Amino acid sequence: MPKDHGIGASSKRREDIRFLTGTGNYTDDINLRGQAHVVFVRSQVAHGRLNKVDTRDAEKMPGVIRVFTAKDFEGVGGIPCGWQITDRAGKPMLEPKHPVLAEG
Amino acid sequence: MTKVTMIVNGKSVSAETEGRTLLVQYLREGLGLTGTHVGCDTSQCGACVVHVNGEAVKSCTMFAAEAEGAEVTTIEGMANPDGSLSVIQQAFQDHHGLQCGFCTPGMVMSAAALLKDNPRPTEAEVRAYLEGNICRCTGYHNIVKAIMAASGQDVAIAAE
Ligand code: FES
Ligand code: FES
Repeated sequence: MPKDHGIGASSKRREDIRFLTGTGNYTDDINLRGQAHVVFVRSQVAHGRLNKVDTRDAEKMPGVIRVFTAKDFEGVGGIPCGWQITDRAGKPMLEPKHPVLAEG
Repeated sequence: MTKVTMIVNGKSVSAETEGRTLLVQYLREGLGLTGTHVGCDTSQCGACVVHVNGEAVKSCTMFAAEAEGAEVTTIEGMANPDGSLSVIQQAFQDHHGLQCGFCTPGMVMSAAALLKDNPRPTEAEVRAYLEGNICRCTGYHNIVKAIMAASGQDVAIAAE
């Protein structure tokens, strides 16, 4: 028998009311005056070599606040891998570089 | 820019709108009704389902201008007039038909459209109808249970 009170009883979630009435206020729902937006530019080819990034035209576009490239993250390091595992012989996993933004 | 006027949740609204503005943008950005979610923008996930003249529509699939003069209902218009949860919304809470809640507005709107046309659907009919609504949290069983319960039917469905 499911219990309806005390220890072991299931409890109603309090957040459900706002989710069920459309008032959840997720990150995408927040729109403050003057809020900046970010756009990530991804590779347009499936496999290639990044020779250089020319941001001059992008910087001149109206409304652009700042263009970031890998240069802005020099010395920051990469995005670390959460779980470093070893193979059966105890050899560490080969970890590729995970730069914050693509490096040339 | 053209003025697009429609009735949303019983209120007449109008906004200057570009021809390419989607109904979901009109609702979220124009009217601030952010209960209608954009999960994919490509008509796959169903998080943006609203009712247009009583029919369930993916609002990312329709231009705002196409809804000129229409009656639109969003999740914000689903609770009872006194603010309490409607039968379907209450059933979702009672049967744990939601976790993060992101898909929930679309699920509730789809469920409402289904039950309007088919007040006592079979479990298979509920599952088939929800084909266009994706939930990444619940595994669907509790959503199906909630809709069965909202239709006044036994909720003891097979898989837990
Ligand atoms: S946002 Fe409309 S179907 Fe996903
Ligand atoms: S409750 Fe999280 S996506 Fe459905």
